[in-house]
Amino acid sequence: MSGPAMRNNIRRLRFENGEMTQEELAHRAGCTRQTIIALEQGKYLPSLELAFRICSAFGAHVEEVFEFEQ
Amino acid sequence: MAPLQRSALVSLAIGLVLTAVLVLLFVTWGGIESFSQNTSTRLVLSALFVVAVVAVGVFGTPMKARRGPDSEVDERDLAILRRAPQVQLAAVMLTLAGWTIGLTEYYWEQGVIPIHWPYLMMWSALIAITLAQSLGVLIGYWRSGV
Repeated sequence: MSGPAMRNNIRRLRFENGEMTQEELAHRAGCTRQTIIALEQGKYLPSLELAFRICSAFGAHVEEVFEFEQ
Repeated sequence: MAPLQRSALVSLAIGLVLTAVLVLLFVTWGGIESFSQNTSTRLVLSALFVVAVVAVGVFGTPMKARRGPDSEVDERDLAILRRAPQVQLAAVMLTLAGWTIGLTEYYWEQGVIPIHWPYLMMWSALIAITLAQSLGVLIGYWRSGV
């Protein structure tokens, strides 16, 4: 049985927001560029706080950035 | 490379160099014979052990994790840092098991272990726990693949 999985659209949203760099997003969200890389590669699940900060950086709703798969 | 990862790498390198220097001093100053019989050798080496362990502990990886406006550490770094003690536990258990099995088997016939060995066991466990923290952080980053 596989558990719940989270997907995100961070990479796509970066390019849709003026080709925002990982560094810039990291600065806006208050994390390191390595964390943005890990998120885009699906190797790290962010805390709720970081998830909301990333959404805020894009000016997007949580569901637009993160998707929950059963 | 994340700032904490770089810090762990530097801490590990410094720790390994200090350990090598201490072992070299221990050997060149007469090894276990001198350590056992010469009080000044024992005290000087012990003081150097304390300085080395405190230096790596104070200026090493954990202090880089302080939160604050200038902190370069985020929640993922802290999550990796929180898992590092698993490596420290394994390192200390392996160190103590190695010493205990080795000394017990070596001195089995005599039935007693010379008094200077527990001293060295303690220092080696302290070195292991100090180095293993940086190693644990590096393993954490390696496993996260970024």
